[in-house]
Amino acid sequence: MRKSSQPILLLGLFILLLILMIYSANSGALKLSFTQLMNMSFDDPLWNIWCNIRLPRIILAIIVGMALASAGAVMQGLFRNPLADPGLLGISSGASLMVGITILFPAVFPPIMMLYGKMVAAFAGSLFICALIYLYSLNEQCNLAKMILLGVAINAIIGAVMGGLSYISDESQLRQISLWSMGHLGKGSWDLVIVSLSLIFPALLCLIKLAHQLNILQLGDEDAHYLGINVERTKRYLLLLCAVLIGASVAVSGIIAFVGLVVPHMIRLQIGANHKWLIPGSALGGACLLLLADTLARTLVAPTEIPVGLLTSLIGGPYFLWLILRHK
Amino acid sequence: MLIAKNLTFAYSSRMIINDVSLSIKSGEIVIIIGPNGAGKSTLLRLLTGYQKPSSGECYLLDRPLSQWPQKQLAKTRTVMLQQSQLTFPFKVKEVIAMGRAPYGKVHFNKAIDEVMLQTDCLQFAERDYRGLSGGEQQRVQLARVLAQLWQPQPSEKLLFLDEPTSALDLYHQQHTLRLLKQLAVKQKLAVCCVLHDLNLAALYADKIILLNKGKIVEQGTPSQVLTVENIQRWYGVDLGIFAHPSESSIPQIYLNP
Repeated sequence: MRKSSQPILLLGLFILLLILMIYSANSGALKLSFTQLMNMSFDDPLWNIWCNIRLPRIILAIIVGMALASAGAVMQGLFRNPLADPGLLGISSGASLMVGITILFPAVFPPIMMLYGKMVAAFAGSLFICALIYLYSLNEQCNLAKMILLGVAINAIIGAVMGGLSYISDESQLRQISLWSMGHLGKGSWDLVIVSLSLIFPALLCLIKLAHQLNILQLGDEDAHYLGINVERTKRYLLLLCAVLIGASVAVSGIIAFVGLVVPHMIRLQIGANHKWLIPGSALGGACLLLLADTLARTLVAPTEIPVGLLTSLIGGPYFLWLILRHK
Repeated sequence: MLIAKNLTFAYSSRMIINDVSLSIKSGEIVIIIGPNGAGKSTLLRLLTGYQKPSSGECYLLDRPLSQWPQKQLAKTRTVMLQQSQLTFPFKVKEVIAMGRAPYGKVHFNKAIDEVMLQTDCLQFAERDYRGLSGGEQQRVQLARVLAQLWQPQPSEKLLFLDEPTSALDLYHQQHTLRLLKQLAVKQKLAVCCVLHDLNLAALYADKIILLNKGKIVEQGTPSQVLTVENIQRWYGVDLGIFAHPSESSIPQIYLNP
């Protein structure tokens, strides 16, 4: 690949994202085309729908897609394995368990604080599982197969606890929990956009700054050490950032599976393994994929909608299978 | 340049390195030999500062290794391991460029171009590292560590290598060791290398250190260390030694059938 092709690919992804945004803003249960909107006055309720329901949802899909895909890219780099995924390793379910608990036992805060409360809870959950995985990875007999089995166990345990939570929850809580576990973006509002952006954007910037170190970690811990990298500290820092990204996106949208697995893998095939390009590429690719999936989710069966997590699993599951069969 | 004093390393009450003292001067090639399990790789890890000795201390340029800031140490000494595997599709040039990590953009292109030429890596610069043969990967890793020590002016630097020629063909074995010799002489590089091939060691070493069961049992010039009694005693092989036909001070070993 020529040197100039990577910025061009990023630019291409960005343009694709812009096109998807326009397409998505134009479609929905309510037919609202730009020409229609232009002919209306600003106080028209349709403008209100467009500005306060559709637009924040589009932006939320972009933010969450970016967070999930870049966290996936970083985790794959961190464990030096293309099958490492926040969902498979149980990090997403750790976050969702904590969100489930806050749904059932809501603490009383002012509304904006409530949003952060959920984020903090989800972050604590994902961080706990990340720490668990990190400690396990220090073990010399650790390999990815074992780590994924650990993820299976974590997912099973949390699944059981979530089941228990649903059992004791009332009607509306049950609905919330089940929507959460399938992953959806229907709650999009500007508050949510601002809160999630305030966590995800800085974390993304930090990841891009650490891309160089992550590249060097690919040589192995000992080689990276000889190149002057503080290996343990860098790894801890990267995991912490992943926990922030996954926690924040789970708090916003529930479990949206496979974006973190599929997107970095596809981007890597095109852009190469250099994380300096791979992380922003994955972020843009994740934004495109989730925005497309969410647009389909709310238009395919309009006026109702499919939880977007089901759609991404439907795409990601077979892809994962193909990856395993091919990877050997 | 590097002085190790009374290094000892124990792992779960087993003594792996036992009271080793040695020195490596700049411009010199020191080759560590010894039978399997002698502790060569562990000794290398103590000398490089990757592992802390249970007791004893290494001094690099008169300063204890443990007191060197990591970044500065990375600019002064580097290590080529036996094997470096990559999971993801990095290009050869990207791998070599990682060697410049401690420096940023300073002399970037010049250093990369020069080491690729020196190690004969130019022909696969754009290829996926994972697709190379073991020997080609070793050449790329050599290029990477040389890039890490590349400097516009000669200054004292230290290079460790753990069996750098294990996967190389005959041509590249000679090429690599000639290159190391040349860098040692011209660039004030100190080279410390673990080798299994005793004949190769005899050809290029200024000093050979023979390690057995964590102890230095012999050290000196090739002709001092590589004697029939020494090799028979420590390796337990049936062998003979003759003087190199064109350089009589270099001993060469042959095994008896």
